[in-house]
Amino acid sequence: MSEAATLDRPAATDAARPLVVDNLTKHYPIHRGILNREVARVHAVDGVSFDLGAGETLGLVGESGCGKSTVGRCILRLVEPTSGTIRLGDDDITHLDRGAMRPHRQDLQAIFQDPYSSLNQRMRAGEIVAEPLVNFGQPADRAHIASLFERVGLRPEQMDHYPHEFSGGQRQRLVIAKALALEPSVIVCDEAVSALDVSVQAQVINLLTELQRERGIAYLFIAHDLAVVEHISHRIAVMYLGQIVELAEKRALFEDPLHPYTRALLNAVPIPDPEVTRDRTIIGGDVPSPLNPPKGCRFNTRCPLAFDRCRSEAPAYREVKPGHYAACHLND
Amino acid sequence: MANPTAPERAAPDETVLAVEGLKTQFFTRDGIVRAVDGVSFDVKRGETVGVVGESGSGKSVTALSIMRLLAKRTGRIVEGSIHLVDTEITAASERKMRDIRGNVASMIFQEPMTSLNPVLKIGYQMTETIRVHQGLDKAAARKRALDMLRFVHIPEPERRINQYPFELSGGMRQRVMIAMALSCNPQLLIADEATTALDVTIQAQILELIRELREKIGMAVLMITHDLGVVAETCDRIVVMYAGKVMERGTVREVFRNPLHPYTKGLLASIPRLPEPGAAAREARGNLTELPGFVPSLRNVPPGCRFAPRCSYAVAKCHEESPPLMEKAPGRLTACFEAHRLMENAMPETANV
Repeated sequence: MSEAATLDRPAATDAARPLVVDNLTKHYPIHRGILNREVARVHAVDGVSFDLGAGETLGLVGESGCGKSTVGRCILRLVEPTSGTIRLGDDDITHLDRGAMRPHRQDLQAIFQDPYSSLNQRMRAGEIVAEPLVNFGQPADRAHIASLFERVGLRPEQMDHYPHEFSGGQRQRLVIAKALALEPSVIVCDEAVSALDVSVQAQVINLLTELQRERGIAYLFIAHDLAVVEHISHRIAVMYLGQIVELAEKRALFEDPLHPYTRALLNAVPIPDPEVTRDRTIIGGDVPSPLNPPKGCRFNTRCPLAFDRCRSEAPAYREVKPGHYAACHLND
Repeated sequence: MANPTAPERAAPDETVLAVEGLKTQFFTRDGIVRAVDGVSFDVKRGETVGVVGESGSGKSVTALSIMRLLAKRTGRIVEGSIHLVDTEITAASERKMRDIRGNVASMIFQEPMTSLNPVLKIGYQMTETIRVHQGLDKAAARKRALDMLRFVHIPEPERRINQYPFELSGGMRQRVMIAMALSCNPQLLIADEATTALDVTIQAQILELIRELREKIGMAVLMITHDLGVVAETCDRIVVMYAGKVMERGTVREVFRNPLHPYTKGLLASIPRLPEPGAAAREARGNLTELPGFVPSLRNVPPGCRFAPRCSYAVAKCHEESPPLMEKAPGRLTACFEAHRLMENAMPETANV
């Protein structure tokens, strides 16, 4: 995915970009008192923009509470965005209601962390995978379902089993088969491999990668594990307190991070190699509350390089190098 | 052990914990679960030992056995010995165990919020332990609690001590748990997935603190984790567990450089790694090496090596006979009949299925 993302481009009908998110914002108002007045807002997502090319994986990383999952849930229309636009293919889906959203669901599927809660325990595995096809009036004969099972590494005879008879990794394969059934162009993967054991995680990551190569599916891969995201993604967006602080091609992000938070995050990941000695600059403090994000740059309270301007003026999120976006005054 | 500055500690190099042939089983309606099945290792003073394994490997049950915190009705140590400083844990009375927990060995868990009482202030929870275990009066216990909070780098301890757990962030809570665990000068700290629920930047802070404990007060630490990165960064020696058994033991450096068990080798190969800082990132990625199959059920354990069904090195013998832990080099133990093939490094990689 070498084409640089141009985020300020006018809304285009571009089939090569199945998902375009522009200035997405989600605030949760907090109401108090007998008049139920709004007393505060949780700034869960604040002006997030990115796009996703066909067959591309965009990794979305950040620590808990940074808003990465809320971004995914807004795109899936599980959460109503406060403002901004979400375009799926040629259509603006930002404010579609349940019925209007329905035809678009074929194109947009999701894989969540816990496969057990994503599967109806009372349905046989084959029925689970066939369900979306039946719902959309598409052929769901046994042979077709069997081929989907085989494609995700399950045995066709397992179609008659119930979810509890599968191991964790197999259940996630089942969820993947179900997501594949309608041949979507975009799959939102929210911590899709986080709950799996290390030895099984590799199997699922490889499967996702192969399916993408075969079918040109685009993944929005939301995860907290940087090593996994680095492995699977083409481009990576780093979020902090509701905003993207940096977005770049994977290689550029790791070789030349332009935001101090990205650097801190990379430094903090434990490296599974006792021979590696490295910079152990550890940033202190905790992520501030999204109820009251710090003035200026939101990272200034923990940033080792912060100076006066960072505390008063929010840095613009801009293209610092071709295709490499960051929001930090140090790049001026 | 009333004086925190001059505790009667084990001398350097002295073994703080020795686990020998430990078997812990759960007696459930559906049958016996052999969660820990003949596990042996030791931890010396000033040393951090990592016990690594996936879910169901028995690593947490091993830790709970050491503290004798198994579910009373179902869990039982059926064989083996656990020697902690000068006490045989498997034979100790419940009264003796109460004395040992906190004073000799302390444990911290994954989610600090479930270990803290949500309706009591931090200070009360800390001083209660100190007063019970060390017989200090209220003022002295408070002073000790403040010292401990300072020791684990909690800013403004005087303010924090009067707060409730919910007012603290996850990282702060885990620091409080560590402060509580250390407040009675234990000789062994058991950390069971203590940083798993934390964000990476906070995890880095807590790992740094655990490293500091070893350097400053010579604490023996047993790290129970699934994260090989955490082991590589904090531990001296490693115990690799799979399905209730020890697969391999050795120094972290040697085990990571030349694993002598196919399971360890497969595990190391299957984790995605970040490119080394500064080094050129890899552009295109091949597939990750996979370990085929999944962890077996501990209810119906097949004969032979428990990893054999997933192992690309397995020979006929592996499916019939359970390999004992054998010493292949000083301090290097592996439970694999085919370890020589790994040592010679002449055989093909673990199957990439």
